[in-house]
Amino acid sequence: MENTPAVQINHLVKEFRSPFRKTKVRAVDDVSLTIMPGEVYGLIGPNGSGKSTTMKALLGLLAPTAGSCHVFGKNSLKTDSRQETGFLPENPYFYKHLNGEETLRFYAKLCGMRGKEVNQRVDEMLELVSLQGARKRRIGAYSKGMLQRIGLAQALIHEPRLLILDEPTAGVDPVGSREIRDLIVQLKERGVTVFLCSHLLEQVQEVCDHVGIIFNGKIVKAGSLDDLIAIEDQTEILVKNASDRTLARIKAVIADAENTEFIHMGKPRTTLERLFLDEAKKSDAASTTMTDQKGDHHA
Amino acid sequence: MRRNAFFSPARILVIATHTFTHLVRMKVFYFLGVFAILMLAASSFEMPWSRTTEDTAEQELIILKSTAMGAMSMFSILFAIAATALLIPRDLEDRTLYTILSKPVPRLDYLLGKLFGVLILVGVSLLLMNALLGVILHFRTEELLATEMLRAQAHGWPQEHLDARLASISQQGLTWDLQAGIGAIFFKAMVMASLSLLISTFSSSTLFTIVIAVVIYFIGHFTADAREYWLHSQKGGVSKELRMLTQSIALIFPDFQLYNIIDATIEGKKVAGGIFSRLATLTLFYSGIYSVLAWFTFRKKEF
Amino acid sequence: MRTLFQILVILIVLLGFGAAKLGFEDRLNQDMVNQKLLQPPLKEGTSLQLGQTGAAVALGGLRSLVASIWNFRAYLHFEDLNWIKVEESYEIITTLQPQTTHYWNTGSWHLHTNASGYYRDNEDITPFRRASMRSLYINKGAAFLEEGVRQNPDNWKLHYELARMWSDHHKIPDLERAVQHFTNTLKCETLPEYKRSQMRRFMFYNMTRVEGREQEAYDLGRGLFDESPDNHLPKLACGLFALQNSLNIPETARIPDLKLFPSEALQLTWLKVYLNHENQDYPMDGVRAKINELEARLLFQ
Repeated sequence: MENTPAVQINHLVKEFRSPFRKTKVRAVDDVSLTIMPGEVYGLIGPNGSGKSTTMKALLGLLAPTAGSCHVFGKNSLKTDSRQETGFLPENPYFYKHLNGEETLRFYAKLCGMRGKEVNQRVDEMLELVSLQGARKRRIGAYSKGMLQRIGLAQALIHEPRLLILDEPTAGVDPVGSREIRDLIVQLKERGVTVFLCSHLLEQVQEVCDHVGIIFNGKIVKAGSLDDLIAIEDQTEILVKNASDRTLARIKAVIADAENTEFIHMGKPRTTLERLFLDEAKKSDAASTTMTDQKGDHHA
Repeated sequence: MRRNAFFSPARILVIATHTFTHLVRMKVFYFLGVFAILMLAASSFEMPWSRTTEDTAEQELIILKSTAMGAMSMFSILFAIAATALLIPRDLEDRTLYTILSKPVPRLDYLLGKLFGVLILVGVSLLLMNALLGVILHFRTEELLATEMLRAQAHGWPQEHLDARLASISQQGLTWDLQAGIGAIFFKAMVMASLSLLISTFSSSTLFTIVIAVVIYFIGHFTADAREYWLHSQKGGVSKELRMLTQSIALIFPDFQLYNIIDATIEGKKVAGGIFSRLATLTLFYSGIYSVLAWFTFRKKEF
Repeated sequence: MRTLFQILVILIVLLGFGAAKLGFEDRLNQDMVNQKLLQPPLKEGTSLQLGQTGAAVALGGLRSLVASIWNFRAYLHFEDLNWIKVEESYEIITTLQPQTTHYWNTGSWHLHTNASGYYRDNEDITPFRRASMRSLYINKGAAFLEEGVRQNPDNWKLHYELARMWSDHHKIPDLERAVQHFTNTLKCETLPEYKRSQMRRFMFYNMTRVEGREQEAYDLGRGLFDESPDNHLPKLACGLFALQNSLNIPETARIPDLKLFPSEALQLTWLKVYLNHENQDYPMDGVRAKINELEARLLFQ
């Protein structure tokens, strides 16, 4: 197992000077964080708290006023550090005059890929994000969800070990959003490190295993998700097909134990999301039985 | 993992061809239709002379060439400035810049790629226009030569005289010297494109870049006078401020008057190889310096 | 702060580069001027100075195109007989393209031939005005050409045009000036070889018309005659004939008639034609007498 952290940010400070008033704004104020390879790290915070700025510093899009950022040991200001990095910005646009396939080919070549390798990767990526049907369509005609997906494809085109996502599911419908989250989990299983920022807290909770909370440019809390949000002194037990007798016996066991308090028993609720997705799946299945040639428009 | 060279010609080519495609898909080539119409109009224009002088034929060819090359010059400068001024602000606005710079793309490659893309566009357009001009000029010259031959026979000119006339007309037709003029048009566009690139790294407004570029273009036509004044003028008693002003103009701004050999080639003058290659070298230096300065500004730019 | 620093660095680099390229550019410029590829820098004191620089600024290298367009407009003004506009247009055109012979020639032609002719024949104005306007425009045409010559001193066509103008008996002939312009024409390095003899012949013809230069003319004509049989043209022969008479050249030194003219019949024809130019100051000494003599002899043969 590698000891080099995927991301190492040390005491990062970024100040912006407004051009006319001589005031300085500290967008990022002494932020330090470490992400080990294979982790999924979520940076959460309100709008304007410095999330995007931190990411940009990590990508070399801006230079730190103080402190440093390293990606797999390489300084973020060096071009080399980006060989291992894939980035999906917030609300990305891509060149409208290209189609999906051409866009991916362009980015692949930018990363130094050639010939057959390019074709192979492009096909792989289009399959991964389920956009084969739209490969020949101009980007200008893509929906928001499709743009996010092609964005992910270009971020992954060069097989980076670190994926940086800025609000990956913002503005995306539930189906697309689910797919993106599933993809992130898939990538994690492949060993890709993911660094994302979002203000959709429930989604972060579902996907990430480490989080950092940032307010006004400062990290106010950070650590492993389980450690942070586990309510220490409570335990949850979920059972299926339990008879009333079994439930009564469980209650009795708890009543017997010392210092243990029974809090709640009842039917868990599914989430609205799960309900929606189930309905979506059913409706999809119904329409595929009918004739459907162009049905690749997901969102 | 792959090592990223500071400067990779292959990657620059990728960005260049991409930029070219981008500009082409902006339906930029429709202007060629306008050019074609202009050319055809110019070629069917008959000299309204009620007095035929000996050099009517040459004059007709000169008018044809001056229309064509004037249009070529205008279009290529316009493109060089506007297309370059447009590129970086567009990328910034669309945020496509982030997706590119977040890849292992050195900033120099990005700049040079954009520049070369514009130059490829200008180059291709000039080639197409040149081809059209070539065809029209060739046929017109042949026609005029034939007419002149008939005239010579009718007037019983000595062979020497006829040869001189034919040579004079041919010199106004399709010659390598004319190609040198077209080369000069391209060089001028090259300098303007790299200059616009430099300005656009400072400002994120397309309009601002275009305005400044145009202003510098005009000042550049004074540079020769300023230099002349400084180096060769014997006059004393001129205010110190004026002297300093002319000196700084002569130093800082490019000398666009050198490219006026375009006009000379329209008139059929011969361009020595040495002159052309020196002009080429100078152009490369200008473009090189401006590109390096553009990189100097751009590399520290924050997004 | 950073932007200021960057701008400073850029200025310094440009200044440095500027200093380095200064010599190179200057030499290139000189060479281009020497090879007539560039118009020479403006001579100090030229009243057109502001005009040319203004033009350079306004048109940035598209001068020939704009000149052609103005040329076309000038023709339209000509058709409208708007002489003031014609003159203005050609001033602009020659400001833009001072090295194009054609524009100087055409401009001056409009002035010294078309405009002056128009005023000469204009019934709407008094005879006095007719004469003065005519003379005004002839002189304007000449002045225009003179300016052309000032800017293109080595252009033989412009000198020739001036010579033609001043030797034209339909205008206001000034033969001394014409001969001077012919001399200038011959001095031009750009004069092609095959034109040289023709120009010298023209100069001869005009010199014969100038009082006091008969000997000079004769020497020139004689030289031409002896030089090449291509010069054995009717007008030359007649001119020599008349000069030989007026200068009282001794028989032994003369070119005999039989050598001067291919045959007596032709001599008669040529001399008769030559006599038609009587009122244009050509030397006519002994021409009439010879014609009578030849007629008498040949008619009765």
